[in-house]
Amino acid sequence: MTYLNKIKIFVLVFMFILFTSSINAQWNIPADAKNKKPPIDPTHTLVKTGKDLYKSNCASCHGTPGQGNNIAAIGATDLGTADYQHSHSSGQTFFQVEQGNGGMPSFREKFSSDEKWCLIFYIKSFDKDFEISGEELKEQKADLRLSLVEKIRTVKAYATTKDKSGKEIPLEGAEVQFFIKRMFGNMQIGELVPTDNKGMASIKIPENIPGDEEGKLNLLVKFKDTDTYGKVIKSKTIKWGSKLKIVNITDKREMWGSLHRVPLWVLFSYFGMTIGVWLVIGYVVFQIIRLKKL
Amino acid sequence: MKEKKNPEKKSEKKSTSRRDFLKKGLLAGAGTVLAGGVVGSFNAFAQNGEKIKVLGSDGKVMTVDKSHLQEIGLKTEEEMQVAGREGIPGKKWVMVIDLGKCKNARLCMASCQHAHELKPEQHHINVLRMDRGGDTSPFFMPKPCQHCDNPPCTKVCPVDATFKRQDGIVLIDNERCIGCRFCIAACPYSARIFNWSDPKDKEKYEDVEYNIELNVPQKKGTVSKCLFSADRLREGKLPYCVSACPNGVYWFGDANEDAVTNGTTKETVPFKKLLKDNAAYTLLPELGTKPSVYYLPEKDRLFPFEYEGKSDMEDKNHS
Amino acid sequence: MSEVNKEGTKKTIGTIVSDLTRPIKNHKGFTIWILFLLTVMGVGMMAYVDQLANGLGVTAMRDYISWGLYISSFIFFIATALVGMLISAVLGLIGIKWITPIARIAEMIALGFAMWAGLIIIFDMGRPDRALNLFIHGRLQSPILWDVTVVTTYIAISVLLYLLPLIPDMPFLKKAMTDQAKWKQKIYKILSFGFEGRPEQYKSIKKLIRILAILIIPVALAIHTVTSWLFAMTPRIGWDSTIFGPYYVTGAFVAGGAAVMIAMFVLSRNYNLKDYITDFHFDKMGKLLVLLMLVYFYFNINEYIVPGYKMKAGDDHHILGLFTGHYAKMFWTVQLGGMIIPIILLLFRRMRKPLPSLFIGIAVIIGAFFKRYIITIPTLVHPHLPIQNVPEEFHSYWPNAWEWAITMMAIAGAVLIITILAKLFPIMPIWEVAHEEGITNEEMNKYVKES
Repeated sequence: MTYLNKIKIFVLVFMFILFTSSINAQWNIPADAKNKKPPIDPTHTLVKTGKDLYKSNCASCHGTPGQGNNIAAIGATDLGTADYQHSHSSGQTFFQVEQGNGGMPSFREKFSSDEKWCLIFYIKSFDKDFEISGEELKEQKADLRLSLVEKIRTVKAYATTKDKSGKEIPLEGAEVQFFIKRMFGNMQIGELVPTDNKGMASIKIPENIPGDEEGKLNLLVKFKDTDTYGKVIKSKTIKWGSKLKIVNITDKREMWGSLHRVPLWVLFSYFGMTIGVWLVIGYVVFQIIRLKKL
Repeated sequence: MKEKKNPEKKSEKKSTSRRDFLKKGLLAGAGTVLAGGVVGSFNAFAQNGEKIKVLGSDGKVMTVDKSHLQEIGLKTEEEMQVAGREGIPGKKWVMVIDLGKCKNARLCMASCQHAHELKPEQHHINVLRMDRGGDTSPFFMPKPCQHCDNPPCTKVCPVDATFKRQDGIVLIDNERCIGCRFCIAACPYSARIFNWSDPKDKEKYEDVEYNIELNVPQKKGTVSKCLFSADRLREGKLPYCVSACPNGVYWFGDANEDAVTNGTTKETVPFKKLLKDNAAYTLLPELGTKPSVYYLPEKDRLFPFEYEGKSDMEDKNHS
Repeated sequence: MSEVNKEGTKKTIGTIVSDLTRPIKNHKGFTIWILFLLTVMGVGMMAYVDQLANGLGVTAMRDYISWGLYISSFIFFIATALVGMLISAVLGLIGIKWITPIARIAEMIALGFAMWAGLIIIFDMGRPDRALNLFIHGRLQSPILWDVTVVTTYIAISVLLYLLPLIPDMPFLKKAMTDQAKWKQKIYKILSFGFEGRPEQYKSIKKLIRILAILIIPVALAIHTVTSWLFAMTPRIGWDSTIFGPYYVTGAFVAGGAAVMIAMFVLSRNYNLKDYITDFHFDKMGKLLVLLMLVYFYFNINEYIVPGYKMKAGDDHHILGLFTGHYAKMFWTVQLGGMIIPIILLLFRRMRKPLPSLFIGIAVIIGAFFKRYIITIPTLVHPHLPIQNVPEEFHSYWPNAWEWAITMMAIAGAVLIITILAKLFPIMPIWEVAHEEGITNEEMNKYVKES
């Protein structure tokens, strides 16, 4: 090993210590938070959910775990390294996701507690000791039925499932989401609604949601937990939106409008003045030609 | 999100006999093959009509028999001009830019330049390093055309080459522009660029039919500008820049629907509520241009301001 | 009452005709001068052909500073052309006599520069091949369309206003120029429109001149106000001003006045017409120029003090850039050398003599040229939003060889038109000069009929 290489390694190690110590100094993590344990055991589905969440919320800074494409300059660590895995308990990471710090935003409100744990399962899945210890939830085939109550602008969704004998029974406690279809995506209306003991979740459609020219809205209803209940999506056209009045802004005569929509005063002043001046010019030319006869 | 078929295709289906339907099925199939780049196989269907070069929806140049254009869902240049000038009835496109989320990734700029065949120095959208002065801190600000409702640029155009359509988009017709650059002088947002010399890949796009909603091929001696990706909106897709952003900066939608969709998370929220809850503003409101692009203030920033290794504006004024 | 003849003895119609037609026959140096102008234009033409082939990219203009020397030269040309209206219309209508020998010079300058102003705009176009779109798709809301309309109208009226006072000269020319080429005599015959000195004909011509003199005032005001609107109608720092119209118009009179002063000197010395354009005329012209510059100075104060006092965001960069920044050298040279110092100098009688007048005129007109540059470019360098993520050359502007060559072609072209007119026709109206000398129409008719 050359002298130069020794220095290089020394510097690298030094910088590494400096770096990690500075990060540790920033995080003030209480002991009970460190020891916090996940309430459920990891399953493939949960890790997959965590991966999706990670991709859209964490990857832009932290990169793909273990790939080293994190943005170190802003203090974002690669969460896939063995070093990270050893020095961070699940509880510790959970705390950091909740709290946020410096460049890292807090995800306390953004993710539910379950979602946070899914995320941690995904991060922990890069540890060589990580084990899928939980049992997959069994998929529970469910169905949705919609009914409208015109008078009170309410949509009722009835969730049903089948018992062991194949009989249809109400599904209780399933979270149902209501959406209105928009141009580029579906807009959620109201909060998540869990079904009651009759399997019913209902929502009042607010007024003033813009519909098409007849006030039609395209309603979509589905289970939040598609892994458990399946991708059931029911849609219905409701007429409770406000009616869209199509106004063509280019119909008006405007200064910025097209040549066919010139403001009348511009039109008249332009042609009035131009024609007036050119008539006089024409008169003068005519008089010059007539000069001979004078 | 699965509604990708355009209205023309729908109406087509209604009024076709079975035989026509079969034929169209074949042609549509051929169109798909073409879009994939296999030109040879299409020749079997070509009649002795006029051959023209067009852009497929994937941006690839292909040669097509003119009589088949409509059947594979494409328009001739004349049809594109008419539709492009009219716009989409009942829509009012709006964009919301969340400054708290921008970290200058510039994927928006890259995808925009790619889609519109722009040179590296040509920007339909430009991520600026902004500084309000005083003790305020600098931030990144993506700046597309503001698609003003009182546009200073279309006011001054002498030949109706740049115009505002009913869905609010300010477009430019490169086949009509005389290159006087009055609109560049009039735009307070510096949103317009000019093709000072031959455009990028001139040979490749030599005889390609001009698409007014994409500004491709770019034309020498004419002005080019952000179009809110009018071609994508016609297909029901989000603009190029909006879908390219990795950080959730852009929301885009139809104000008439009061909904905007985030290009990164695909989350859809009420437009006016988003503006209200975040104290949205427009750029240079004192000029009365009434932009269609709204900005959310750079609070709760996810990323620190950093440019070329510095956390400050090194060049505050560009004089 | 003859002001023209203060110093000399009374002239006869014979001497007037021979004095004024002699330079037309004398070709000494003419060919060299024409060749020089054509060479300048040839170089410009080569630059323009290259620009046509390779696009406006051959110039130094780029996306942010997208208007450059062409547009600033365009305003300069329009400005210089405006003097025709001031001298022959305004001063003529209020009965000022000393303008008689210089009115036609002013009209020649107006014609030359107005015509080339129209061409410069075409040089600035990215797609001159589509110029006809202005007529096919013309938008009446655009100041460019108004500009095209008024420039055309102004050229038409200027042609007539040049032509009308020329008609009564034609009989003298026909008589004096019998030794000249056939085509010239043909032109004189056609342009006489059958004028034979009858009193009704004189009456008609005077009436027509009067009509045009009145008509050209609003048209000339419109041409330069509309030109100023190309800038003032945009929400740009430095252009967004309500006084741009009068600011431009008064500036135009200064530029035109200086051009007339230079032309007076060159033509009177070159054509040996010192008896017609005398020290008296230079003195008057000098006084007129002081007056015009004072008015222009007043508008300058308004244009710069008002934003300079408030220092609004945006305006501050612009104003400081002019006063102490990047453009300070040019700004103060133009303001001092092209306006303030000439004002002070011209207050002295000695400075209103021909030779000092010539130098002051040159200083003022160069100042006027670069003043248009100062109005056009610094505003574009300071847009509302910063210039970023573009190559270094996009941040600043100085015209390159192509632009100078093409601008020089335009200037040479305008001078060429003036030269040709001065070579074909007398530079002063023979009949009006004769009237000033107290020579009656009868005497003139008698002279023409003698053989």
